[in-house]
Amino acid sequence: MSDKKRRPIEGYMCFGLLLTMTFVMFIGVIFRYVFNASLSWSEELSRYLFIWFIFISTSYAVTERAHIRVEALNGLVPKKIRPYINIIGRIIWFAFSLFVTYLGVTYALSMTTSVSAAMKLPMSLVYFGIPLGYFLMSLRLFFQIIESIKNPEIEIQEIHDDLVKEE
Amino acid sequence: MTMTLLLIFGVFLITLFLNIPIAMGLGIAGLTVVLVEDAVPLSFLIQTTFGSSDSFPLLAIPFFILAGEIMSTGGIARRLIDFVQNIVGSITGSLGLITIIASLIFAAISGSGAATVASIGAITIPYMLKNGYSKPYAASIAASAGTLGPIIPPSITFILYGVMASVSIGDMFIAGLIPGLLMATALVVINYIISKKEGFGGAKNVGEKISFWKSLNEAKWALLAPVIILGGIYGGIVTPTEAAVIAVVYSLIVSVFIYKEFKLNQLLDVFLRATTVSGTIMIFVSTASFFGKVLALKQIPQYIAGVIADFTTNPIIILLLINIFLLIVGAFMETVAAILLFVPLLLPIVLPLGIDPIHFGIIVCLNLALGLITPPLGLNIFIASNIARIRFEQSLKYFIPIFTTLLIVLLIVTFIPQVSLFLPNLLSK
Repeated sequence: MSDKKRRPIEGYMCFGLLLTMTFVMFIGVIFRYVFNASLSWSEELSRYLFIWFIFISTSYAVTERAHIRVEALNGLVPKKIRPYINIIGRIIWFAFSLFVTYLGVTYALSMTTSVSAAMKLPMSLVYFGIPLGYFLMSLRLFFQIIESIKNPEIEIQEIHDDLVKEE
Repeated sequence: MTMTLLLIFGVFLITLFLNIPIAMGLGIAGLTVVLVEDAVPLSFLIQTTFGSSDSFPLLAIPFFILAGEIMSTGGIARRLIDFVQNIVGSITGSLGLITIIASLIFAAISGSGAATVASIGAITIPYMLKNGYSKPYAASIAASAGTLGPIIPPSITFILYGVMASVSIGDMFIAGLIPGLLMATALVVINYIISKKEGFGGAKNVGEKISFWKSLNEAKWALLAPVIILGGIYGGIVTPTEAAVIAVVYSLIVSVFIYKEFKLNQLLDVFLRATTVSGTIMIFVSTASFFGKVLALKQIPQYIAGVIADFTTNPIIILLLINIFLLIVGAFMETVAAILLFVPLLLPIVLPLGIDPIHFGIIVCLNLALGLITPPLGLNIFIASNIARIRFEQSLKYFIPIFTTLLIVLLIVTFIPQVSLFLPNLLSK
């Protein structure tokens, strides 16, 4: 990987989140064992950053085309129609992401009055990580679908890419 | 009941044919049942997604992945290998032996099989080839030594099992030690037998021989890592999650300041590799939990357990059947997916038979670790044959003897619960 490569925004977000999680957790450990004083906020903060990290890293993995599939089953689909079958799959996946985004926003908005135990963070902010991640994922999928419709061969290529990536 | 069963698994199977990632297929299948049967409000999806992700034990997973990525970049693997080489010397099959022992130590730092093969194999496979080992054998032994990754604690699969089965992850880590050592011993034996037959020896020209003390001194920071991580967990001093974050900070300090083989500008790359891996794993937890909750709502696990109980209640036969089932699953499916999907279905079958959930967890993880070297989807073999530059099929030449050896270990672990339970029982007293 070259240093100059342009990376998706999710990459920088996850880098920041993971670095902060490491830092916050490590401070918590130091305080607990060295200074013998538990920080009530450090566990809570890292857990909530983790929620954001999970769903944004999911979208990042989409840009890397790294998600785990069962290649053996998809391989049973005749090669001629496979690109189109896979585009249909991607459209269903896109629709699912968009639907979860909608559910997530609705749910987060219903939580505006509750706050977290230690830091009194608004819980709607914590919950918002779920729809944000799914929304970013649906954006990525939208562009991948456009790309695949223009050039259906990408869809077969990708199966191979996945294996190379795992290697 | 049958309708729901057909609907949920039918939709799930269709999504897999459509090349939708397994994690998303689980979510789509669960959502379809909720939409069609109108059993629970749709907000149930968000509640389970949040509830299953908001977990302190799971937080250990991205940290262990990150620690593994840092350690495979920062020169720790190479020093471990130099040190082991120094102890083992030049005997029959010694380079295979070095691969096994180095993988064993590396597995006690990293949590996954793939990371172990990628880090140790990348160094020992070319080394074996240079010294007359055949390509298929070099790839096979590195791939099978990598199966120690998910069994020797810390282990990502143990964490996932612990969360799904609600058992202590610390106990899982303790229970995995003896089965892991047993696997390593079995691999050492088969390595000796094959090397003797094929005439694989040690390194021909070692170059300048460095002293034992020098190699120990070089490797001491690498060797200290498993002591800190496992010692902290076994001694009950830190939780697995805290141990994981300590592993990240420790490996960063050693790689950057002591071995000086890790430049800070590599930090972004390493973090992003860890992000990709955990991004594909963590999303599974939320969709698989949702899928599992929908199944449980419809009492499907109990139904399946009932069908099997009508057939037999003999624990030996059931465990044997589960082993066969999981070996097949492991050959086709990724480990993480298999654990999250099948553990909630299998637990209601085995728990009423009086099988200890920790013992069962070790059985499940060992089965799926064997899947890492089983075609058609043997991830470790993919990685190793790629390093050795041969095709996947070519590296299967030694598959049967090595697989059979590990299968014997699996049967021992399955039918002698004490192998897994002795240490946790001892330590909990």
